Amino acid sequence: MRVADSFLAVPAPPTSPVRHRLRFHGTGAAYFRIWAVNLALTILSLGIYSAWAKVRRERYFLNNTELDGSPFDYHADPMNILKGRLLASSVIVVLFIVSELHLLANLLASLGFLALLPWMICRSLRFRAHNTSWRGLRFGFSGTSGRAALAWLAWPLAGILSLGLLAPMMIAAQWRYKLDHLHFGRTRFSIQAATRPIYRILLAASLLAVALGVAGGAAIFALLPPPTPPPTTGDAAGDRLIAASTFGLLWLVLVARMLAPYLRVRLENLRAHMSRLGPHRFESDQRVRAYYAILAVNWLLTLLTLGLYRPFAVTRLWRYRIEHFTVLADGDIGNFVAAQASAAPVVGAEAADLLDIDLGF
Amino acid sequence: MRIDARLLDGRSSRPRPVTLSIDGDRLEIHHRDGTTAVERLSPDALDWQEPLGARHRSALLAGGRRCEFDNGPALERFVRACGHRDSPLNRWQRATLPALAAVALVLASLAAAYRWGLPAVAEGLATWIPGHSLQALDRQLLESLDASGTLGPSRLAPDAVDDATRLGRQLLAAHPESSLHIRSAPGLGANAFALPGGSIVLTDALLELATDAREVAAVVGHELGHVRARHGLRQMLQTSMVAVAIGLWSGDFDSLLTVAGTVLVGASYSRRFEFEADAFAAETLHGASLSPRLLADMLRRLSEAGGGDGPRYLSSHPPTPERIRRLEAGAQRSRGRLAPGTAVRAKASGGAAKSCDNHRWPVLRDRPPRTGSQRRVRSHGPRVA
Repeated sequence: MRVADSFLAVPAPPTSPVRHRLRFHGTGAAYFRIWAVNLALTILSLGIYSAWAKVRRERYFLNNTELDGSPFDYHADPMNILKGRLLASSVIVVLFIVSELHLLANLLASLGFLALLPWMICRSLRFRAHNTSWRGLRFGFSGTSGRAALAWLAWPLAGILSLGLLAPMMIAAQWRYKLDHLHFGRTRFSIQAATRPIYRILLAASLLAVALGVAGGAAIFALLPPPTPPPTTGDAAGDRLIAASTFGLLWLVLVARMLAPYLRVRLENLRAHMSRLGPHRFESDQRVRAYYAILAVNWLLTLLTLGLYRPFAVTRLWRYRIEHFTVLADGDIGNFVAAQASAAPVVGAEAADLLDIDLGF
Repeated sequence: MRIDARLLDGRSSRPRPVTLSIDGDRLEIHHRDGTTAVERLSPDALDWQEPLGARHRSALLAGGRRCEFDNGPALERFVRACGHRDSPLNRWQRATLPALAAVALVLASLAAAYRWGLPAVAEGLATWIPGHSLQALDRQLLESLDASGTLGPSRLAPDAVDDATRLGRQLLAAHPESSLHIRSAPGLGANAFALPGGSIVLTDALLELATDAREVAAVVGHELGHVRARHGLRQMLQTSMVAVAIGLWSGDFDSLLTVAGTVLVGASYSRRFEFEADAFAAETLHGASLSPRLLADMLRRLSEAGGGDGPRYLSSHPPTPERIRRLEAGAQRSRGRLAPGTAVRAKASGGAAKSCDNHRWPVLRDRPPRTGSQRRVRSHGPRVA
């Protein structure tokens, strides 16, 4: 057996790590079929099947993701996911109704949601880690809600109050929360989250944003009518002013959207570079340009097919991200041992799934 | 029959090379590294996992152990020899025809939900929201529109405004929740719109464009139609539900797609509501002994004053000629036109009004100018919104 033999071989000297690039064997066509059946059954069952659909989807992606000859696996129990979804949706409905009642109730509901957020983030990370395995060993997560509140409430607030100057500290705090509490079997992940490189990336993004903003602003300004002589019909001038400000606003939204993938790629690469699993290291070599090319094609085809291309799009993007991720093993990666088992409560993960909080694993 | 596998004991990540053999109902695990003696089990001991991976398939064993196999014809024969059959659902997921059938089903359900489910749900929801909170919303909206400079105080002489809106105000007398507001709005041209709580806003330019008070009353009647049927609220609810649905459908495909989708999808609802409001206006005018032709005339004038309809699929309003045609056809049928200036019997009657009578809090918003970030791209030609 190919894989087993690789472990019987003499380990490489510690100075030159063994590179294990992740592989993805899924295809858009295969995922399309799973996706279609999932969707149809979810509709026929009035949403009940969505919990089973989620497990099938997660398992499809993880079973086709391979590290050193072995696939990952996903173990969540659909029944637990269903219970979590029901609870989470009822909480959201209650908060929504309460927030409609009165201004004060609205405020309380918002505060209630803010208070729940760290708990949901913590539960979600725990659920996902606990239900993911490789070679029969589970991942695990031991972060607490309090620390999540620090990283997702206190630091964002600091970021806003400092007009973005402290944003890199916020990103570093969130990375630390996610990775310093993550473990595989008994082996802990860790991250050396230095803020200087994060500053550099955010600075580059800001400069790009300014450049794009100025270019767009100049183009829009050209549309504005000259101030003198005043146009004879006030309506026409007003129309053009409104059109210009509308386009300006749209342009801002577009610039933010255009820069998001850039930030994502560069930050993901950086985070992989700073992370450790015991003695092992990681490398992510995604390219901004290639990533944009994939997004553009995905976006266009999804639009043209009214969404039917989506399973292919998701597969393409996942493949790109997975296949540009490498584990730099310090010798043998066969020595991980299991941690004490404990079941992870499911509610937070499903609430986070429903609210589409991207937790970035 | 024999097959190689990697055995994982659940305690360590080190795989052990094993060979499994099946002979009738005797399953044996041979440890190729010689650490453990041959295990003899029943074929049921292997809990085969769903074959979702293209390369690998796993089977669970008691005690948290698992075997990983490489996919291929040999594995398929071995799985069959163990007496395991994949579930029908699993076979569907791998076949093309069921997938296509599933897609057809999904598309049909989406179309049905959009055509029948969405309007019904929005209409049901709209009756639940109390009128006083919508009127509070109206006040806030008007304040913010005034503050942003989109709307300003009317620049017409108060007497002229009184004259021009006299008939319109009489129409509103039977609808105490509604109120009339005249504003200057250089950016909006000749325009009229209603807010969710029943406030109807007419621009100075619209009053200037109308030849007399009857035409203004026609426009007020149209806006009242939106208010009575709670079109504004329903449109708002439908648009947000569509936005959520498109967001879920297109998943990670960003807000841009969602916005584009809801603009396109929302437009056609707006068209249906315009026709309904026109029909209501026609009935109201008829009830007040005025001709529906007045609204048609006003529409024609608005259309001539500028604007134009733009591409059909993007226009949130039905093409003006179609609306004029319908109004004039209605006027032909009614033949109830009296001399200009006759007393207004402000009483909505007939079909269009009937559908709204059960709403305790008549409301409407048509197309109020959006404030701040909510503002969307649309043409701002003169129009009765």
